[in-house]
Amino acid sequence: MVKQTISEKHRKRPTKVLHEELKRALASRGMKIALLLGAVLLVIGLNYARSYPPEKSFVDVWYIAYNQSFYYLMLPLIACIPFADTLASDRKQGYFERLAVRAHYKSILGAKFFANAIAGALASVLPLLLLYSILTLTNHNPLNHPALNSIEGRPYEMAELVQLYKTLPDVFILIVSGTVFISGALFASLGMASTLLINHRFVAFSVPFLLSNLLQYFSNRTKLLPWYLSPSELLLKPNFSPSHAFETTNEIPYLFILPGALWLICIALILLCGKRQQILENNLAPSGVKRSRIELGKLIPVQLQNFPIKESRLQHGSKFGNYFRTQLNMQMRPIQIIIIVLCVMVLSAVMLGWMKLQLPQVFAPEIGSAPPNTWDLYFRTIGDPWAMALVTANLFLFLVSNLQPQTAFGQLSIKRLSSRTSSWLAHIGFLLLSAIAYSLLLFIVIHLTGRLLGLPFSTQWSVMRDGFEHINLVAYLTETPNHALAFATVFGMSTLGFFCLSLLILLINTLIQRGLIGYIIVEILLISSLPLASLSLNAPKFFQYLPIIRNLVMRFYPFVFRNLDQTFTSVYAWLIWLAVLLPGTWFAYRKQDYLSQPETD
Amino acid sequence: MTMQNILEAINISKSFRQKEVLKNLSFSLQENTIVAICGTNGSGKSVFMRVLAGLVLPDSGKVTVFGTTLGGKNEFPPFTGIHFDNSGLLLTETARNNLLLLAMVSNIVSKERIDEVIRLVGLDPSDKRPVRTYSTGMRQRLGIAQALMEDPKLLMLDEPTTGLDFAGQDWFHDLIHELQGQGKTILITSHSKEEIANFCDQAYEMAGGQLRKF
Repeated sequence: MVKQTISEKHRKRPTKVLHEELKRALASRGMKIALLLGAVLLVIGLNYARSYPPEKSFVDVWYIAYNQSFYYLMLPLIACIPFADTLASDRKQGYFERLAVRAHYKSILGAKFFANAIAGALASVLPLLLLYSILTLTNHNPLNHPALNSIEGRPYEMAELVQLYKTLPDVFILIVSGTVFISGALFASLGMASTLLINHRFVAFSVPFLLSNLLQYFSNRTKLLPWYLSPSELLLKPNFSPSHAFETTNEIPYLFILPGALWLICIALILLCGKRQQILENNLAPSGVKRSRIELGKLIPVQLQNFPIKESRLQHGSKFGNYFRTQLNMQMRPIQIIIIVLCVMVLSAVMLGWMKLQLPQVFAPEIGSAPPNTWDLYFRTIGDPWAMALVTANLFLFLVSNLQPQTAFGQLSIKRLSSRTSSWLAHIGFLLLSAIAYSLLLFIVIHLTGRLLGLPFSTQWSVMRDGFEHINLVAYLTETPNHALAFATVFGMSTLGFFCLSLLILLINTLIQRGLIGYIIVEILLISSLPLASLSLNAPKFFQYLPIIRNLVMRFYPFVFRNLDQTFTSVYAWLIWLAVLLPGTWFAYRKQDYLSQPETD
Repeated sequence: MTMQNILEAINISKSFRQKEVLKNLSFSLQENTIVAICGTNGSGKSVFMRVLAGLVLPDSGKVTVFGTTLGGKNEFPPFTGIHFDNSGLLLTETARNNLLLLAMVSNIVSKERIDEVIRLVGLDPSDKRPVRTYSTGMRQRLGIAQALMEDPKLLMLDEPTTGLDFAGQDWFHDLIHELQGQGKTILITSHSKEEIANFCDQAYEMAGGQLRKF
């Protein structure tokens, strides 16, 4: 074995390994991107701070910029960008093995995790500290000006920390920065630890980001989880949100529960999945050792992996039609549809639970008018911006994100099709049909889930119409005699949106010839559009419809109210997107090179 | 009997991010010959093969295959089977289903031909195992089968013996000679000088973005 050919004296010292890993992490391109992303978010927050009274002190500006930039939502991503994916990429490229024969395995793993934690923590906190430095030099306004007393930007529920904010603002900033530093380190570690379970770079970025946003959603918005599991509480965001927030000094210990849990998850992943023989998969694992890798292909029954292929299509129909069928066979799998249906069912159930929690009076048996029905659940689920960004649109975009770059099999298919334009046309058709089918699937699954959970199906509006914001429709849509127009509007809007966003993924992946990058970029744009849509409250109308999420949902709160004449603005917005994306993708397809790609699993 | 050129590449250049991989390269291929291109890793063999197959677009120059110049409506060469550096298969499907899906697109292959070509490369068309469970050599054989499926006149095979054991390599050499006997033309890339010396009619070496006779 190679391991035995390297004598102990030639092994690298642990400190040298750590030094090299730290150098890699801190000088990485990811570090620069993360710092830039953090800085951009804070600039958005600063822009928002301009709307506050001019008497604001440096700590007021800093804190407004911090919380209005939605830094707490993006922090897991910022922390993971610099180095969290390197364990996965080093393993795939064989670099980890080459390191492992030159140094002790535990010291390499330790060095990687330490460097990653430091890089993630610094990437998270440096933009905030830079902003603090700039503000202390440029803003000399007195502290605690009464003009800002009633402003939501100042903390008012955070126990003794409120006193610190007023009397020792530098210490307050350092405490908040400290929580950001620790959270950054923990999320970065979670990202890297997740790749021990599933060895893929994408996992490093997505697991902490999704986990954090889901925790935020379920604890802060739906209250289905305790308040202290919300990352915004850990990150000391001001508490004008509907969450509980910690109010007394006695509750401070609760804030250690989330970081403790994240730390325990990381340790558990390292202990269970980070053993030497599990990680060194190729030639360094001792012979006879059974590798306990998770292989999704083996977990899923064969019948659920592919749809049957019709032999009768051989030498029948057109080349294009048959190519389209092969694309369906390659892209759509029964297991994917089952997973989507289950996810939408769970989402609908959560939405119904939330509706009952927020509006118990409309579900009371003695209610006079029509009780809530499955349409209410449909409009509520489809119209929730957070659910749309994190689950509904996310599922669809992930499902269709791997059309480009063409796999080796796809290249063989195109060679037989003999036309790049036809291939583009087939992919566009596939995305459009998928968007329509997905929107219909949502409609059916949400209604069925509603029925299963006891909601009636009715063609009449329920009591929820009176508070139309509860079902996320503009007022005039609820004034129609039935749901058809409301459904057609919402259906058209979301279908067009899904189609356009999938085209954007297609364009990005075709231009840069890298899978998943398009999906990640579009998903980040989508999630970033949530705070952007909130920030554009006072912006001109044109800018109000720039954030993607505004054109996917009807909802106005916490966004700008949508008037009657603006109902179809989103449809026009998507048509403009289409006018750019359709020729853009066609041109990219015509000019792309089909380079070597791995086999398709 | 004079043999005619079935493939001509004239003044082909291709760069990736300022790195010039192919430099004003010209090449022709005579009918019913076995021609090899060798070269070090990264020398541009595969890129050149992909240019000939219409998968990579050259920055300048033109490729003509069987009298058809690639470009415009003729984006890919006619009567050509290709097999590149990995087998290009759907790993969750069976061998037969892989060929079936591709045959649906080309629209000229019968069920019987699919089974025949799978047997020709030494595999079993009734094998229900997904390709994921196949060895590298078996996948290479299946990749060659898909290239042969439409009974092309010209075969472009990029490193076809990679992953094949000695017996597999012998089988492959017998196969290409048999195909040559059927009038086919074969263009392969290879790292093996022995393979080139023993089995090819002509050989070229790719170096510095240029081809020279070997």
